[in-house]
Amino acid sequence: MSKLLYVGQQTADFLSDNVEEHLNRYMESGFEDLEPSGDWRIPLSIEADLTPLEELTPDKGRDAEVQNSMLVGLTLASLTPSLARENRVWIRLSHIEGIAYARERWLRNVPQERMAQAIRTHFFASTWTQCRDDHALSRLWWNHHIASAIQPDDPEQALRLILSRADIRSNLIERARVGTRLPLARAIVKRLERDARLAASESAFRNFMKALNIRAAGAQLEMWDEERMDRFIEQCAE
Amino acid sequence: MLIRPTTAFAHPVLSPHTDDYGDRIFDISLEVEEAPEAGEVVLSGHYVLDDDAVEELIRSSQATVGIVIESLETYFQRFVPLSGTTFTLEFKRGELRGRVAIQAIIAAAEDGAVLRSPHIAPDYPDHTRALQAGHVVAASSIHWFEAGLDKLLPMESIFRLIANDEMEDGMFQIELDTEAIQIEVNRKLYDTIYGIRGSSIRDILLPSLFLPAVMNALDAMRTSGNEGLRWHRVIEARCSNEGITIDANTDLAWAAQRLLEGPVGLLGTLFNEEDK
Repeated sequence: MSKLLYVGQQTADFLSDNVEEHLNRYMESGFEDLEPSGDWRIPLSIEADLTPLEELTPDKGRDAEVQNSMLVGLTLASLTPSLARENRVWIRLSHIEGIAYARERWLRNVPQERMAQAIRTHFFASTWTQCRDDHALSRLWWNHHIASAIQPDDPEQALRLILSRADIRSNLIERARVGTRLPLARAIVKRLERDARLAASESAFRNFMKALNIRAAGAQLEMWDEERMDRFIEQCAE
Repeated sequence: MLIRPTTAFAHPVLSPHTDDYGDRIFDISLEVEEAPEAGEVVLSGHYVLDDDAVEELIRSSQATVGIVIESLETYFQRFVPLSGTTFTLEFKRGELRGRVAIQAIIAAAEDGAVLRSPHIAPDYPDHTRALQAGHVVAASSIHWFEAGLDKLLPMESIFRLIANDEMEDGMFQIELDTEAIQIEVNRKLYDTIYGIRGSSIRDILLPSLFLPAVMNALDAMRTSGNEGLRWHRVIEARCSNEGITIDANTDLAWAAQRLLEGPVGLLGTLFNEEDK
């Protein structure tokens, strides 16, 4: 275990402002030679062993995304949500310790003319949506964080359901006003687990979310017990 | 869930955004203590409610009063039920960051809770006054604060002075498509400004150079496209902390002066020092 490191503002600005100049580094040579000098190594107060990041698999698809989310979430379990919003932590990780994975997963086979944009999207976590949805590693951390909040005893199972289709992730995670309401999110995930039709059909899930939005509007559902919430979700799914 | 001023209800709701209860009040007094370096926040305060019938619903457990805390940047939202009129809520694990909303809400705790306040507008028929569990009885105004370090960053940290010999003598140009706001001047002016920055009259740069640069930045923030850039995040955080909204109606000169803490006022100090 060692202190988790982040880059200084000067380095973050330098990297962000010079993506085109560094295309070869992103594709091949990396940033190891720049790392020993300048402000690449500012220690946070928390510790982590980053070795498991070497096991990240660059495959696309749900299984790899679930596995990778578990790996990043557990490896960086000491990060708080507030720190996990810090762009400079993720810049360090995607440019040094996690560059091999980030490169293979997000840059391989990208046409040259779209390369700089792909780098800006997946190697920097400037905005909240970039941090939650796009950055190669922070996206995985937030997947795990959200799944753990929804289903603390089995985040991996929650991840399997949430990541099973893009529309489920986008309705639960990207629409934060649904996903952050934990009793509601828990009941939705529980329903997905039991209801094969809902879990398998994009149109069924779309209709379910539409019914939920209409019926839940303006109500403080947090007042309900688990049984009533389950009943409500069942009615929305009918 | 926050109850926004635009949310419409089929039943009466006691709120500063409706006239359903005439001049009755439901609101919170709130104090925010923050240790941003440690990611720690303590929210404390009490609620004020001056409708006896709504109070009776709480006393008889037919309704529950609670505080909603929403911090979308950390994917956090909670409804914390209260057992008295005062509250102290501690967030010690970096749960809050960015724009945080706090609102007190009273909601029906059981089906059949009836709104009996004599202050309810008479145009609500009786059948609209019987609630189901979860229906909102009252919602305070939404209180906001900015959590985290971004609001504390000095404004100077988002500017970068660049020498560009294509610039005319005495002129500067603002570039906003990089992480820091770039102020481009020719070499001669660059050296002059650089010298001023290290001297006792450096404050003169605030009204003469940084003020128009901040106005340019605020103008660019009226449309989307720069949200990912550092200068945008810092100014946005400071605006949020100062209660400044950036839209088509914002007085940019006023907003920029607020962000730079009245920079023209520094001229008085500078001239006094020169006179001495």
